[in-house]
Amino acid sequence: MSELNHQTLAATLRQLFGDNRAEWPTSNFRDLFVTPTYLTKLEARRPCILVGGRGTGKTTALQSLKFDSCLERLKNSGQSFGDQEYFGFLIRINKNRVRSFHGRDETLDWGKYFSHYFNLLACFELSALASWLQEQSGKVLPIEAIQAVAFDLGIFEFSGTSTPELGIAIKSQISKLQLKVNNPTSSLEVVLSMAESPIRIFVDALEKHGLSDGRTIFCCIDEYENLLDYQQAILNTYIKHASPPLSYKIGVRKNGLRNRQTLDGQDLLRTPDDCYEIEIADEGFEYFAKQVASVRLKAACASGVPVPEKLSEFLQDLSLGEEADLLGANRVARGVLHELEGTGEFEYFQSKPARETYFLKYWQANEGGSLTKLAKDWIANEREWQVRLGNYGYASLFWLSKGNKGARIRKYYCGERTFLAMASGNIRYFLELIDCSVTHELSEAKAFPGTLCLSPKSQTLAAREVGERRLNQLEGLADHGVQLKRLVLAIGKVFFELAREPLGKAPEVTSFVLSGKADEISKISDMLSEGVGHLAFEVEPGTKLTSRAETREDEYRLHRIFSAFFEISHRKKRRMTFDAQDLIAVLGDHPGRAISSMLENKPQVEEEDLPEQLALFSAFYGDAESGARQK
Amino acid sequence: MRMPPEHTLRFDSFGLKDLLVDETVISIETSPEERGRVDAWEELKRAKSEHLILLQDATPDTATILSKYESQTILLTDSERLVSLVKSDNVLIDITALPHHVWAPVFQAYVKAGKQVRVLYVEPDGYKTHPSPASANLFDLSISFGGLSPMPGFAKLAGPADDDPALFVAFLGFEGNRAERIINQLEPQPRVIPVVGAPGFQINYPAITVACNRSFLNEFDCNADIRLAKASCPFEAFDTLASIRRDFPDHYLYIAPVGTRPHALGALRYAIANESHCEILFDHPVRQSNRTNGRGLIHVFSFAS
Amino acid sequence: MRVDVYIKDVLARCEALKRAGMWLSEPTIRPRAWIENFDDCDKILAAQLLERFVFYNQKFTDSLLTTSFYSIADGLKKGPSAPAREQLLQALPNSVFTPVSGETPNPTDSGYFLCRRARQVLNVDEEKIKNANDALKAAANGQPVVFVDDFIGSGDQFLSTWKDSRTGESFEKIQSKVGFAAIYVSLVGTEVGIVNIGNHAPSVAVCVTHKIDDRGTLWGLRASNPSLYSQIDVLLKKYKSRLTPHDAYMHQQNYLMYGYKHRGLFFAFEHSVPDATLPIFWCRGTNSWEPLIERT
Repeated sequence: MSELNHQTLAATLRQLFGDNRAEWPTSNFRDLFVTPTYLTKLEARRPCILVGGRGTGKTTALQSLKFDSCLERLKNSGQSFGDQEYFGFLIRINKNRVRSFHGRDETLDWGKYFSHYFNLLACFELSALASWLQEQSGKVLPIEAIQAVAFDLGIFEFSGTSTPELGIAIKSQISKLQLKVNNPTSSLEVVLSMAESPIRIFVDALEKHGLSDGRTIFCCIDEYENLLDYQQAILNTYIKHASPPLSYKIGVRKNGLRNRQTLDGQDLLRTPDDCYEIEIADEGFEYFAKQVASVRLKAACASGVPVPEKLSEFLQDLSLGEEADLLGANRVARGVLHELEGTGEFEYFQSKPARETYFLKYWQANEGGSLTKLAKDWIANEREWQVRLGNYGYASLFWLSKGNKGARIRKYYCGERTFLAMASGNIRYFLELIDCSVTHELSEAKAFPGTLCLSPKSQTLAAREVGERRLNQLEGLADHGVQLKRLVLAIGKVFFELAREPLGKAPEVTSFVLSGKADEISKISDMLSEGVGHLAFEVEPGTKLTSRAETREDEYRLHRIFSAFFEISHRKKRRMTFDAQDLIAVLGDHPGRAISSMLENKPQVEEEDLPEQLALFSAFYGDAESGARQK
Repeated sequence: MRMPPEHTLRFDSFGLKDLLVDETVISIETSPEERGRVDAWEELKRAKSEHLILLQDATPDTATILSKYESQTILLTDSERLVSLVKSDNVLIDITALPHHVWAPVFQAYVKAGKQVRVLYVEPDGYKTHPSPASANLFDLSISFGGLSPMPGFAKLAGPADDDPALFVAFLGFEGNRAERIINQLEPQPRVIPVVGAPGFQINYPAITVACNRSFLNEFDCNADIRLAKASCPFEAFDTLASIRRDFPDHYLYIAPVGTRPHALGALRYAIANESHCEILFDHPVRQSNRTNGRGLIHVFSFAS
Repeated sequence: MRVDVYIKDVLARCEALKRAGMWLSEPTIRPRAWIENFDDCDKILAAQLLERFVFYNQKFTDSLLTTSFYSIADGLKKGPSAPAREQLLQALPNSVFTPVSGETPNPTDSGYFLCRRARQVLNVDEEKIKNANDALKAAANGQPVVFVDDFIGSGDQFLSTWKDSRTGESFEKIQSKVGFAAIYVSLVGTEVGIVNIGNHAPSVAVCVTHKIDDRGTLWGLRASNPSLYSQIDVLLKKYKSRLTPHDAYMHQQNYLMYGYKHRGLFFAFEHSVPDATLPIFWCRGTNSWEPLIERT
């Protein structure tokens, strides 16, 4: 196969699995769109809150509700305008814009000003929708209706007759509002519209004059988390009181709906009474992700790329035993046999595969005691030991590779199930893992293979790389990104150490709860919460046990995308407790000390033996160097 | 032959004799850094001069003013009142230690009022390094960030439509993740044009800037678009923006002044003059105290009309 | 930081500088090949040196030239009895430009190169650029003279130009007899050199972009980090025997370790590498020694 061909095939795969920041597929790959399983729920009449972080497909889903995108989708499946059941318009909340209405003082009635701004934004989109509806339906929105909207928006001098002119007048109102916000104490007078009123007038007019023809109009609001708390309260009120033909669809990051209050006193925005909440991560992600990947694999095949059609074949998997072999079970088993030489147990274990024999040594490291005694016990209780191997085999793999100094891989992360787990509900992560694996696989191969499958090695290296990338990107993602990264680095290191030292500790500790002083717990919880929203952490909310005073606290874990980077288990098993004080110390000048404290001062892996990706952060993990440079 | 521009004067030390006739100084009341304490201001303070106005940031929207006669609180968006503080036509604003959200609206108010504005800036001698860095960010400059929000008087309520072309102009500094954090708030993400301060305050600073920002430069694939502007010159920053505008005439400019203060000054001056096609994005760092060492050269920029 | 990881990090930094267009690509600047010169146990120190190396490519050098030239107008005192700002600005339109040359003037000297750049970058007319003789004649006529160079080390090079009377009266003599505005535009200068010029040619207005004090040199490192310095000193001593410079004068004293006149500098321009920069960066050597950057 020629070099050029190699490049073309590689490029095709890159295009299929690579990070397209525009989430819509290009025209060449229109058939790549996979309808998310929750779309039907989202399209229902009632208000919805769609919860998902970056890369979960949330924005794509909301955009697909837009009046024009929706029609395009329908047309692609042979339907038409008559089949369209709803008309959505989209407002994306721009943080820098809405924070102009900071609400910090009383120079202006900020709530009223913000409501007015939102009315202007919504009516601007509605005027575009109205123009489109006039085109599609052939009906006309009468001038009086347009003028009524303008009047209600406070545009008293509106002399236009068409919806585009209304749009222009709205833009000019926004400019005026901007002047006021930049100098609240000036004498400039701005007429404010009433909460939601112009929006309702507009929507009712579209209904009355036959343009929307009984169909619901969705006001879609994306990035709800960018609103200030009081602004969320205002819009929550609209959602709570939404009535046909208007409904609301909100897109928000997890923990982004910080305020469920409305302007009606004690009344909160409740699920499912007032609105339906869809957590993307819980909505059949695995099925969705497999579909997304399969569709792309098929497209690759169709373009002549030699890949299997089945995802499970494409992502090669390893059984526990196979992985044990790769990680050095042989070496350990030989050691065991050597120790058992001359005993009655020798022959029994000699006939066993190395991938079982090594486990004896692991158990000795775990429990202590003489090897021969344990060997005798195994012979007497084969079944019990097989069960034990099943339960602790995975954990033992972390211990197994400890002897492999300088090995590039000390634990494998591969296979469909593992990748799905690590992506943890985020479709972008899932595709990124595959894309990165492809790059690694092809970088090793000199020629394009006959059938391209992703080896466990490529997948593992990819998983590590993606984890590292996501870790470094944390700084750039959240307001407290710098601190979040430090927390992840510290906690990851602790779990890394625990995974390697079975003696005296429960294996597979991958989650934690907080203890300590209330204000410290509160501070760290807030940060962890923000981290959850930015996919640094995952959380299982605590539940109150009603029978006793005990509360089960929120249980946190690192996002599973970091599993390969920190070489820890991606499964959920056991938890430990961290003192909030230690986590706060991680944010300070001596994180190394805090980490030691979290590990109860047990010895840690020597810097020389750290995996390379962790050694990169030794300036963070170690104490301040004496050679720290002054610039 | 290109003649040297005359808009900037430099000093090893700044004294009262270097003030213009009837020039009023606006500076910070208490500086967290050594370089923020200019001896000449101490003299003026002792003399209880009416030519000295000291500001201290109080809230994100207000500052307290200490002038010869009294202490009062002022709304930073109240440009009329800001301008009324100074009787003379000449004003010198010391931006060395004032937080951006305070000096920016003050600067805007005086410029728009047609005053003869000069701005003073003291270079640091060096920067503090972080004892336990978790990234290429070697410097320990900010404790945390207030987050993206407009500076008083610089709010923008409308911008380009999703399919209108736009650019993100990032004035880079030593904190490698600030530009990235800001652009991650923009959707859709525009093309990036980074600006590096070169020549820098010191000979190795441009290289440090690039090294600190390398993940941003790679992530947004903008190495080939790097522009240079002298780190201590607001006018070069302004000219860079004007030049970018000429190269991309129909693009909306999102500007992140997260590099040096002189660059921020130039960017703000540009924004004041070109409101229609640009907007300032700022993340309000909560500064470490003592993040700089010592006092370097003093620059005075003249914005007189 | 662990050795292998630190070295990788430094090389990644070099790569970033290359990608940003600040450093030139291999083989002009070869960080990886250069690190390979060193024994494994010495690589970490070599990386420490590499991290401190500063390179100014053509574009950056142009910006230094512009900045130095523009600083004529900044009002800082340029010399003990140098003209004031207003006088300098008045003098400029009428001035001629001339390179500061070495002992034997050579068209490849930096001064010539920068004069040519001044044409491009500062729009200086061709006929304003003079050789030494014509510049002397201009000075004798009272015309202002702008001397151009890239680096002030000890200041001796300028002073020898200033005092050179082989073709008649020197600039120095003319200055005392007739008086003319003398401006010296250079890109980078050591404090020592600038003071030296101030002592022996006090009327000259010296304009540089970067004044280097000890901190930008090996000696600054000795002051701020003595333990690192002594390790590096050992390294320089160990490898100096490999170095084979073109110029015989580099074999004097400890020039081969610390650079010409023991300046211990860390930088280079695209158009020239000062011999005052640590030779371990630029010197050719035995046994396939690869310089980081070659000094032509």
